[in-house]
Amino acid sequence: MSPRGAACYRRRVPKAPLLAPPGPPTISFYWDGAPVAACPGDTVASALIAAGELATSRSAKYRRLRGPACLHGGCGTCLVRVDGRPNQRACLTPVREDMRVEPQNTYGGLDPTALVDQVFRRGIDHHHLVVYPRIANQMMQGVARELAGFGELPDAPPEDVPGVVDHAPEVLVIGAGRSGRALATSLAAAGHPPLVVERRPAAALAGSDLPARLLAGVGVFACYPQERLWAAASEQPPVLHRLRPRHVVLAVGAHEPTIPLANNDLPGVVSARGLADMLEQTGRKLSARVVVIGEGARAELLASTLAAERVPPARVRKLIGARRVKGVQLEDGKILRCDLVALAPDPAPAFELAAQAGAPIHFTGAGFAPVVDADGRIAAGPAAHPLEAEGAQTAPPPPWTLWAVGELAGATTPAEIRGTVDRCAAALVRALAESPAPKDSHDRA
Amino acid sequence: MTARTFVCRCEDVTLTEIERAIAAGLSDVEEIKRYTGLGTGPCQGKECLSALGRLLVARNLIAPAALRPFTARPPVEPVTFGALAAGATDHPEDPSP
Ligand code: FES
Repeated sequence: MSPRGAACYRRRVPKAPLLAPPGPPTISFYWDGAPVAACPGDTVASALIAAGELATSRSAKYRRLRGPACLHGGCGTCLVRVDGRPNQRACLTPVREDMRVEPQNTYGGLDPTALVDQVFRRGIDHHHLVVYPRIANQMMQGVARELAGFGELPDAPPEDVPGVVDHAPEVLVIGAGRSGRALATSLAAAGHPPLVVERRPAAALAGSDLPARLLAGVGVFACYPQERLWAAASEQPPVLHRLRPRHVVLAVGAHEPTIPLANNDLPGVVSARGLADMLEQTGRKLSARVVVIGEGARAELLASTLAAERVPPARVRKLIGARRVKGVQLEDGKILRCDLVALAPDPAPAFELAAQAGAPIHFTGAGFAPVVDADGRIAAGPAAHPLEAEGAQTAPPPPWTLWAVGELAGATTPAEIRGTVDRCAAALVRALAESPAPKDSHDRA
Repeated sequence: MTARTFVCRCEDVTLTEIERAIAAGLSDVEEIKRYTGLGTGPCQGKECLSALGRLLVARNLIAPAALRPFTARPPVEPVTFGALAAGATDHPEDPSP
């Protein structure tokens, strides 16, 4: 069995477009064998959503249809096969003429594994289900093994040998979103242009305020304090970046957590923030009917940006639809018809890199975040080696200072984000003046 | 389609499954991760971890100050084995021929 798209997808009827293009489409690529029109600036996800193609895979256990959701590189359900390479995030992959994009982990339009969702109506409790009799367990394991996994191996071994680039910047800024860019601008104006690393590709970063020293399409995937190293990589071209900065500012923003609602996994249920950003980046306009689900000022703002009706989660009974979302059923039985549901949860700070760097982490009520002072400075202790007993911390303190700005530092509104950027920039410029770079240190970027 | 409420879409962990874990006496993020598989898929918890944390706090199963995330191990972004291997090529002790 091949867990890839099958021919039955190909005779699909074209769907009603959901996002209007900013101009005539000039690019064409293949989605599961059928041509899709796109515009420069589109990602695979924006082009597919625009074309009404919302499902890109099936889920691991219940085999339900899934598609791009966070639109921000964070959720992992937009994974597709691009030109023979598996597990590419559709929402971070710019469209290219004639690229072949295929669904993953699905067996075509009439996928027989979809029956799992019907058969196990009360859920699969893997602690007890089909553990006995053993023969049934073995049969089930056999089937499950075939189903498991994310995509198939690449068609061919990669042609390029991955390269390595070392960088020793004075200031490293991770993230070129609003706060990262604003901070880079302030530092550059003060004579300390930072190196900015951003996981989104350059094509997805519209705007005139792009930092001068920018590595786009490069994801910082780890901080290894014991190695005194931050590590980042791009897949195409395949390059490993080893970063040894003196100061690190995390401008990594926040994740959009799910809102637990019945059928919150339907294709077409997306992040409101991700959708708003996608429209801004691509210049596309909504032609779809959207309902925003969320509470509070931020959800309100996103609903007005998307010109959509907003309902608080407590009023929602369930989302309806089968192969894609068709509407929101409210507790009073009323149904709001729509083509997309945009979730506007309280954002959860992207604390992961800060935690790896040794930052103390606390629960904010919305999610986890590093503890920061008024300037955004993080007091990261000496990094204990994971295999060392606690208390036997022999590692020296990290060779960098660590800071957070924007949503990671607890800001939610544009004004608060600006405030964290200004305070951090001022404090960082003072720190740079107090300890100028040693003579032998220079950027090798 | 069966109506299901997902807390973790990567690993298809539903609210019902979280409730089963709670009924089994579990009340913190790490335990529930180990019992249900929540947070172990491609997003590594970016979508579900805080949703679970909020749920546990809302049900008074744990105090906010006691809540800890599960360990955020590398990689936090997908990275190919090729790129990781590239970083090892200049190690003199590399035993490869
Ligand atoms: S990772 Fe692409 S939509 Fe979430």
